[in-house]
Amino acid sequence: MIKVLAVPTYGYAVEKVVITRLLKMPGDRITLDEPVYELETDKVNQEVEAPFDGRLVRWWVTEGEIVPVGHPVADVEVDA
Amino acid sequence: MDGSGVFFEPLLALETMMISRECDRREAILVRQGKAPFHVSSAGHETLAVLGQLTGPGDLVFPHYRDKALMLALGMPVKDLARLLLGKAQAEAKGRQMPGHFGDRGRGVWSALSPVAHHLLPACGAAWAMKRNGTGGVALALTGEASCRQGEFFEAVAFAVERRLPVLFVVEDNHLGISTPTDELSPLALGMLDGVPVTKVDARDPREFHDAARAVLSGIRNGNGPAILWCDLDRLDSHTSFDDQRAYLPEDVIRAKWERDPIITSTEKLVAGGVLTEQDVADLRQRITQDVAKAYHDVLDEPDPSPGDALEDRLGPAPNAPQFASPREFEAPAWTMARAVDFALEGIFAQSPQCMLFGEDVEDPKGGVFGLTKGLSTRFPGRVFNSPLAEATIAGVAAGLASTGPRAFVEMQFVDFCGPAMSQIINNLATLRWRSAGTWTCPVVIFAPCGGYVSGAGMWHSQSGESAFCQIPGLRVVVPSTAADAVGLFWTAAHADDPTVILLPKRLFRVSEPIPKDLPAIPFGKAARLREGQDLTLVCWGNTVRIAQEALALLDPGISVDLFDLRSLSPWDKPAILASVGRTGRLLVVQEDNGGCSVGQMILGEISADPSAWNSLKCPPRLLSRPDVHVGFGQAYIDAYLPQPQAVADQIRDLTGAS
Repeated sequence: MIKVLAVPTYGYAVEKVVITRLLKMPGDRITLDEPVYELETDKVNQEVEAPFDGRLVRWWVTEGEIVPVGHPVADVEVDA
Repeated sequence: MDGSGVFFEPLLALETMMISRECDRREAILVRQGKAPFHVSSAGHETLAVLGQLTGPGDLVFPHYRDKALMLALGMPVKDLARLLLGKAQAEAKGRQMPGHFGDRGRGVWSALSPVAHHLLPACGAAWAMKRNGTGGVALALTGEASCRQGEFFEAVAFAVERRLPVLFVVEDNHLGISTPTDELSPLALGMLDGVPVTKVDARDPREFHDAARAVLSGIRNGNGPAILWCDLDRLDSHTSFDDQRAYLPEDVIRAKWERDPIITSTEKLVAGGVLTEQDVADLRQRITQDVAKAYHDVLDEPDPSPGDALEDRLGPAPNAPQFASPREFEAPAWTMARAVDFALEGIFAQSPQCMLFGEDVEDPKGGVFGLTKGLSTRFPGRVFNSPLAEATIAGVAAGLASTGPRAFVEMQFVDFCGPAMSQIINNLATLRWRSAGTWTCPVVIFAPCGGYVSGAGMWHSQSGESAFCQIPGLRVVVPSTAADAVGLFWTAAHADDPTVILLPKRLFRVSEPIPKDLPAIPFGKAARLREGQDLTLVCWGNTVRIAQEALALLDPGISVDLFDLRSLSPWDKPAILASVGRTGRLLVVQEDNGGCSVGQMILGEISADPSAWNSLKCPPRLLSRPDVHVGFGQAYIDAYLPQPQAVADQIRDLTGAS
């Protein structure tokens, strides 16, 4: 099953984030709690951890892209 | 125990602190992963866990939202913290409370609330109950230093000092109220805490904190009265996951805080002292990381509450009170409502030794400014107490008393003065059952003279006030219009497990009326049908019952009016009014309160929206009320703006065509 990673919510005030680094390539395995990308808000610069085990299928964002919170970041094929 | 024989257990403290920190790290990850919506960190406040080594089963903890480590020290499982974070059905609060809003009745933790410092007066109430019962327990009231500028804090400290209560106020001073530096704002900095012993302690060092807390607690247990433990520490993380301290703190300030991290410094001390090796620490950290991750992940799979669960625990079952147990024979053929209230309280206090009464001027010889409590402090010594002139104190202390033992009866001298108490009533009394999923309840009876139609009163001694209370879920609101109903409603309220507001029309304190020998309990939500009729349903309560009766006397005796005294406004007798309107097709509500967002408007809305009534209505329902204006001092204002018999009669004529 494919699951979509989405940009996390940062409080009531943060509307958009910058995707600063993608730490995995499509096809790579990712494991629960492992950082998969970094983002930056006007205040925070932060790694975001994988919410489950799986295999990265594709990125929906590129480094430097500005996207709203809740925006799709990646498709992950979840381990059965 | 007085705590003097307790020795600091550094390893236990460190492990608890480390578990708490790991829970915070895990919770932040879950927020980033989109699995949890919100997180509040205790990082930097973990040394408070040491209090768990100094407290026992007789004590009660009124927690601050950064007391995760203390909760763990008191035995709360990590999974319960996870349930709180994730709003799970198995959380003690069934997913109703936010993270950081701890509550655990079994472990002596009162249910926390968001309005800061609002748990301090309840802590005083609980401590008062402990002191009266001689349990030897202490109420630990923990709060942030920024919240110490709330009036609630000052009132709580004053009350604890006044009554020499076993309360330990633990102020967790992290020097920030979200982004506002507090070092020059706190009452300690302002030099305003002369009347209470304050012990300042470096709470970054668990041993130092332990020794200071042990000494202070020991003094409280020995009867020395309340004390403040002022804890210097750091908030290492942002205020919550919705905040980022980098927006308002320079990087070097944040770095300096982390360099004082109590977990790092404690660990270094234990390693330097040979108690632990570096390997032990690494092993411990690894085990904790795994255990915490597993606990949170297990809880993720637990069921969420079903939305319908939210409708439970608003109120307990309707009380089923027996016939009023008269405290003695009475012969007086006619009573005022004031006399009836006094008699009802006497009967209740004679029957229930657990009841207490608290309010301004309630003790003899005054016995209340209206004499509602006359003779009670004499007949029931040690159970009836004058309060300071501070309504938040009255309500907040009552919440603490009632939730931990004695049912509390409190007199608010005038409903007009409930303003300062409203925050306690709205936030504590009315929510305690719901927010703790029934774990804690708050059987308080608030009674307050209300209403106008009296001269010399002015706008702050004439208000009705009922609509404001009726808007709050978790309260019952009643307004008697006769002496006998006052007895019956007090009696029922004395058997309820939830807060009841009894509003007493003060105009009736001077009106004598016959009182029956047998005084039945008056159930909540049951209107009295005072007259049967076919042409119009007339609904009133409190003072307007007499106004309506006088209006009917002005009309042709042939007019057929179905007259109801609601008596109980929340809940209200909708079935009786619906059935009546079904017969008459006409509805007139007469109320003393102003119209906007009022009980009268609610009744019109509910009846009009009901299909059965809508189909039988012959004309639009009508509300006669005070317009949205205050009651002025001059008699002209009273006559002009409170519903008068002539105006009611005119409305009835207009609606029915009667003469």
